[in-house]
Amino acid sequence: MNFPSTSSADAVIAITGLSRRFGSKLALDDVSLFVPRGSVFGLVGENGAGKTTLIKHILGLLKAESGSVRVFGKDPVADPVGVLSRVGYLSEYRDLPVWMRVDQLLGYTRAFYPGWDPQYAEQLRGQFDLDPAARVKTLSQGQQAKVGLLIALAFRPELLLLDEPSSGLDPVVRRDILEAIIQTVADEGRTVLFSSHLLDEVERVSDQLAMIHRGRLVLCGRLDEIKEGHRRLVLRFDAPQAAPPPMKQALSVRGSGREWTVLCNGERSGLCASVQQLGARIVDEQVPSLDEIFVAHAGQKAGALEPSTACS
Amino acid sequence: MRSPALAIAWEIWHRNRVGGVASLSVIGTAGLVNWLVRGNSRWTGLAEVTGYILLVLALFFTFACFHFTEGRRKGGFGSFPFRLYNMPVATHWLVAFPMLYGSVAVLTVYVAGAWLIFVPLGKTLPIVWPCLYLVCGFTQFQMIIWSFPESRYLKLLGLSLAAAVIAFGWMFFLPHILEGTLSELGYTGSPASFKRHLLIGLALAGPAAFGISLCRVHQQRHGMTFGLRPFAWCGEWTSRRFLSRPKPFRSATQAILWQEWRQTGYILPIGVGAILMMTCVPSYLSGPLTGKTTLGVLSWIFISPFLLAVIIGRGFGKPDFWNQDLNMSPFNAVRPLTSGQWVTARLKVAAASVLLTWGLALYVSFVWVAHAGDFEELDQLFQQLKFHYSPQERWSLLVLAFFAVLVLTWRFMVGGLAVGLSGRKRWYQLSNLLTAVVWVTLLACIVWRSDHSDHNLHLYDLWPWVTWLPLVLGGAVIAKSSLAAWTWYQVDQRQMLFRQSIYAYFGCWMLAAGLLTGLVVIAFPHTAWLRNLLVLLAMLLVPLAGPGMAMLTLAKNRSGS
Repeated sequence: MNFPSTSSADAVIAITGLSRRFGSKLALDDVSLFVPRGSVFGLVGENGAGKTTLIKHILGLLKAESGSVRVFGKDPVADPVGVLSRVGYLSEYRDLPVWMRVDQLLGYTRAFYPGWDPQYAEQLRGQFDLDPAARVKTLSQGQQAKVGLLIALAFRPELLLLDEPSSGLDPVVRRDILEAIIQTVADEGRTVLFSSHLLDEVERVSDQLAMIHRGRLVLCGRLDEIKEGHRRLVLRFDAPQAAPPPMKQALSVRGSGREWTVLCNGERSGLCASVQQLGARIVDEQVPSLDEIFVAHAGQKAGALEPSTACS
Repeated sequence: MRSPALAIAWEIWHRNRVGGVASLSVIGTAGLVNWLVRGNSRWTGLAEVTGYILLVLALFFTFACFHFTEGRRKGGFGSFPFRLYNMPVATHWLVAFPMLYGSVAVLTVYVAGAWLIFVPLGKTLPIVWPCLYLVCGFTQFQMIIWSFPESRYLKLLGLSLAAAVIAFGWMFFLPHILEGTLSELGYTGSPASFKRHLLIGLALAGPAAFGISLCRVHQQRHGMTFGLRPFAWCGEWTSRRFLSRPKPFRSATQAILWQEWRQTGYILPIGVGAILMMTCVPSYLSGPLTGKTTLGVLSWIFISPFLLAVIIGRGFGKPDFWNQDLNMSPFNAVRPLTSGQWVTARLKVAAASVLLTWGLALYVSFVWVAHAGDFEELDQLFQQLKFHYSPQERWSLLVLAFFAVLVLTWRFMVGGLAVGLSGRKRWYQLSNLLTAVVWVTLLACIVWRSDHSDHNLHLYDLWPWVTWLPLVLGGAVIAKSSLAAWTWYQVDQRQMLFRQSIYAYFGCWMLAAGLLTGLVVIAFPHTAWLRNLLVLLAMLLVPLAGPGMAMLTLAKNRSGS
C-alpha cells in the first residue's frame, strides 16, 4: 500500500523505520510515521497491535532498537527534558500518585512546567467538577481520568499524547475528554495524537488516521481520503460461485452463491475492471464505515499485509 | 485442580517453585559437603558457622518467597489478594490455606537444614521451639500485611515492631542468655518455667494471628468498616495540618524533593522510632537496670538505625519504595526532569531521613539513660577513653563518630540505588542476596566471637591472616576511582546534572571520606596496619561512583533499555 509521500519538514513527530522486539515478539516492524503540526492524529489497532509501544517511543520511555524517533526534531531519549516539557500525556493506566490530594497533585505537577496556566487549570477543575481536597485514591475511575487529563492539558502542551484515554469510562467522561481534545485543537498550533479502540471517537475528532496491525503500519492518511479509498461492493454473478471471488483489492469477502459483498481498497476504475474480469456486476456500492475498514484490515492474515511505508 | 485447597497450593508453589528448590538445593549441597568433611576437626568449625549462615539465609529466602501478598493496584504495596474475594470459597479457608502452606514451607526448610546440615557434624538442633517460633513469625507477618490494606504506615509500624521482636526474641531460648537476662530484668521465677510460658505463648500466637487475619479479611471482603477509623482520622488531620503545602513549589527540584520525602523520607525514622519504643518503654517499666543492661540497651539503640537502614535501603533503592515493580512509573517518567535530578533528590531525602533518625535516637537515648539507666558501665567506658586519649582527642572522636554514623547510615540507605533504579529484577535480587550474605556472615562472626570470648584473641593476632588485604583494598580503591571517573564523565556528557552539582558531590565525598579518615587516625594512633586498612575501607565505604551509576541506570530504565 502506498501512503502519501514522506514529509518531515513540518512534522512534530517524525518516526523512521522504527522496529522493536520484546523477546520473540516483534512489537513494531519498520514503522515510519510523520505527524504534522496542528493535526489531530488518530492511532487505531487491535489489542497488542503496538500502539502503546509506539507512544512510549515517542515519549522516550522506550529506546528505538532500530530506526529513529524525533519529537520537535529532538531525540526524546537523549533529551527528555527538552521533549517532555512540551508534551502532555494521559494513558489508560491512570498511574497517578494516589496518596496525593487533587490540589497537591496540581501544585506538584505545576512545578515541572513553566508554562502552567493556573487560570486554565482552575477552569478545567471546575469544568470537571473535581474536589481539590479529595485524595486521588478516593476518586472514581472517571474522575481519575479527568485529573490525568487536567494535568496533561493545564500547561497548554504543544503536543498532547493520549493512549486509550477513554478506555473503561462512561459516555459522559468520554464526551468530556473529547471536548477537551477539540478545545486543545482549537488552540492554534497544537497537535494531538491519540490511540483508541472506539472508532466513533476517532472519526469524530481526527483529521488524520494511522492503523497498526501486528506491529506494522497498514493504513495511514487523511481520514476522508481513507474513507473515500475504500468501497463496499455487492457483486452479482450469473452462476453460483463455490469459493469467494479472487479479487486482488479485496480486504474482506462475505456471501455465497451468486451474491458476494466485498470490502475493497483502491481506485474506482481499477475496482470496476477487476469486477468485470471476474464476470460479475456491481449491484450496490457504498462507502464503508471506519469500523468496517478497521475490521477488514485487522481480519487480514499477517502474510497478506503489505509492508508499510512512510506516512504523513 | 479438584479443590480450592489444591488450586491455592498450586498457585503458591508454581509462583515460588524456583525459590523453594533453590533453598532446598543450598541446604542439600551444604549437607553433602558437611557429610564429606565429617570427622575432620579442621573443617567442622567452619562448616558449622557456614551452616548457620546458609540456614538463616534459606529461611529468609523461603519467607520472602512463600508469603501470600499481592498489590491491589498494579504492582502496589501488598495485601491479601483481592481477586480471591470473588471465588466461591469461605473466608476461613482463604486465610487458612496460605498461612498453612507458608508455614509448612518454612518448617520444611528448617527441619531439612537441621537434619542435613548439622546431623553430619554431630550437632543436634532443637526442633520444637524453633518450629513454633518460625510459624509464629510467619503467621504474624501475614496478619500484619493483611490487616492494614490501605495504611502503609501502620503496616510499616507493625512490621518494624514484629521484626524487632522476631530478630532478637529467639535469644530467650538460649539457656546461657536466658538465665543472665532474666536476673537482669528482675524475673524471680525459674528459667524453665519462663521458657514453658514462652512456648505456650508461641503456640497460641499462630491461632491468634489466624483469628485476627480472618476477622480483617472478612471485613475487607464484605466492605465493612475498619476498626481503626480514629487513627485514620488522626492521620488525615495531621496530614492536612502539618504536611499540606499552601505555597506553590519554587522549582521542579523542590517538588520532587517533597514527593520523595512524603513517600520515603519518614520510613527510617518511623521504623527506628518503633524500635526505640519497643526497647525503652519495657526496659523503663521493668525497674532499675544494671550498668550492663543499660549499655546493652544503648548498644541496641545505636545499632538499630544501621540495621534498619540496610533493610529499608533495599526498598529505598527502587524507583518506588511501595511498589514491587522496578520500572519507573510513567507518571514520573514523563516529567521533564533529568535522571540526575531524580537521583539527587533521593540522595538528599536519604540524608534528611538519616539526620532525623539519628536526632531521634540520640534524644531518646539521652532522656532514657537520664531517667532509667545506670551510669556504672558508661563511666568505665569513659574512663577507658580518658586513659587512651587526650581531652582534644576525645572531643574530636565524639564529633567525628557522630558524622561517621551519619555517613555510614546514609551509605546503607543509598547503597542500592544503582541496582534498584536499573529496573533489572535479577540484578536487584542478586544484590539483595549479596547484602544478606554479607550481613548474616558479619552477624554470625559477631555471635561466634561472643560465644568464644574466652579465646584471648586480639586485633594484632589477625595481621598474619590478612596480609593480602591491603592489596585487595588498594586495588578496590583504584577500581572504584576509575569507575567513578568514567561514570561522572558520562553523566556530564549526557547533561544529566549541572557541572557545579557534580563538583559539589565530589566535595561532599572528600569531606565525608576525610572525616572517616580523621576518625580512624585518631582512634588507632599506634596500630599502623589497622589504621591504614581502615583508611582504605573508609574510602571504599563513602559512595563515589554509585550515585553517578544510579543516574545512568535510571536513564536506561526510563527509556526501557
